[in-house]
Amino acid sequence: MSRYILDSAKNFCSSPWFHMRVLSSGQLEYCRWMSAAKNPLTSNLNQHNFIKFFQKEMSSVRRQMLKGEVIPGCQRCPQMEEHGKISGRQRQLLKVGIDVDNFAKTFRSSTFYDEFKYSAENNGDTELWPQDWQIDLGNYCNSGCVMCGPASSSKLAAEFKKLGIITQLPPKNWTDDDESIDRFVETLAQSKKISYIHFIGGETLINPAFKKILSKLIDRGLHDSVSIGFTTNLTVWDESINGLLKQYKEINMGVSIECLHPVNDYVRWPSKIDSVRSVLDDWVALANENNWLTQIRITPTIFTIAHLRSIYEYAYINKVGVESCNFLENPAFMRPSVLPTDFRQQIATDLENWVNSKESLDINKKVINTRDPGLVIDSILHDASSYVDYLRNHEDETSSLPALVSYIKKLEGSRGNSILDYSPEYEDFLTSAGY
Amino acid sequence: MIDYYDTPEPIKVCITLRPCEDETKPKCVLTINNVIQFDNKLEESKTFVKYVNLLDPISIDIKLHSKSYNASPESGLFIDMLDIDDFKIVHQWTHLATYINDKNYNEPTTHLGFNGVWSITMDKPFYQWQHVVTDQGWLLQP
Repeated sequence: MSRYILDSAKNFCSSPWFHMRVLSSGQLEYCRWMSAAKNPLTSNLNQHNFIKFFQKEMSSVRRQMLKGEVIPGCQRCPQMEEHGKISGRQRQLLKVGIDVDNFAKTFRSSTFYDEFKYSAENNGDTELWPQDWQIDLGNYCNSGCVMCGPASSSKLAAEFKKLGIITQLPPKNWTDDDESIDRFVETLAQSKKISYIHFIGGETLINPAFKKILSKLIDRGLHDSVSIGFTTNLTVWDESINGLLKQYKEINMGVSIECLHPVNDYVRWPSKIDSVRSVLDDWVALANENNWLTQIRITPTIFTIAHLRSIYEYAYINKVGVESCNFLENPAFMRPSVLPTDFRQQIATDLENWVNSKESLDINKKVINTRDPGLVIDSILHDASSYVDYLRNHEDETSSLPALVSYIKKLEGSRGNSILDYSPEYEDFLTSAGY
Repeated sequence: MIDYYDTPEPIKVCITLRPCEDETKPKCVLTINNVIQFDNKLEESKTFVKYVNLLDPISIDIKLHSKSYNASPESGLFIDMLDIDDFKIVHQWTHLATYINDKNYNEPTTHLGFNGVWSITMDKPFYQWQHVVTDQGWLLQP
């Protein structure tokens, strides 16, 4: 029997004991926050038993976690924590009762402690089943967001192919195969315990698999026990889907928008901000009527960071949470840290002034349970503060400006638009980088 | 560093009881996890510290007895502090306690002015209980 010592609590995460992810291609991943490029595991939903994947193949990750080792695929969470942002690790730990600020005692008190110990004594294996899922339904999408990629947008995939950015389209979506969907739902139905399934796309609402899976889960009676989450890009409204969602015991809705400035049209091309805003209001109203949790999902980039406060203000007024899963990793040239320093400092100051103009219970207190409606305001202000910290302290990446310019020139050539129509103040530094 | 086989550190239960300003001092019994910590007349403010196992459920009973309502109507006691590992149950979470007494007074209180028992029970390991009462969201079970 191996005797484990957890050397460093800061690297431990409980996620691999209850969570896994299915990518659009059907590839299995151990975490929704992990860096996909560093996934050491290769199983696919279509070829492998995902329970075996969870219980056995993920053992290597659990073994490293149990020792407190640094895991290459888990870089995003430490980065979030460095800038005061609530990380996926902190959220997942909290779901089993572990508080990072009181780790030793809450770890030993965790509802999963015996399971951690079991894995420590069994080479990282577990007999548990996943109960918290993220399911990527496929890349069908009606948007071609500039920071997205072909694996998550069919529109972008076609455009990239046409522009020669890629030579091959991404693999087929696993949900294209009805048998895969049936097999997946059947396995879920056999699970001893499923708490949460979060669906993303592409655009979730235009993927036929979303409706099929919702219906099949209802047919199997799982709607009374499973919480459903999904993310939508605010371009679709489908009453038949709303009707299915209303049958579930709990809905957590993620709505993707970057800002309320017209530059949102450039970034989330070809959506139009007036229409997006109208659909956003409709979703928020529907969520309020049905007691659903709403969170605005943002992916701040060099183009939208200056207008981020418009979305925080909307969230603040409407008491809706804001969540960016992580600081943008790829494309690296689109990170807010690619902005010249004077822009970054000005935006940080503006955002900080906005935060300071609002009343908070305690801005220094971390709100890890960002889904607590009573703490939504603190959560919003805390998230905004993490961007202030990021803008002030993240390394300078202006060296990526030429790569950014090269990329957007290709896209703009295809789309017939120009960033300067939305952000003329960027002209000097973009021009100097070859725009 | 955490050794999975270490005995976990205990948690600290800290209670301060103070008699009401009255010539007649209250008679009370303080019990933590069924072990009597104090059973006497409370002459002055007194703090009790007890360490309990991290994973044990915790029950705390404070009983006021033998009070004569006619002879000393103001007699009684106050719970000035009840901290568990620095988590302040009193006064923030007083509403989670019960006070069963001979006057059927059942509002949340830390003033024991009637013969009866003020109790608070954590029916699961303290930190799991704290997670639930402080509304930290899902607490998944294996």
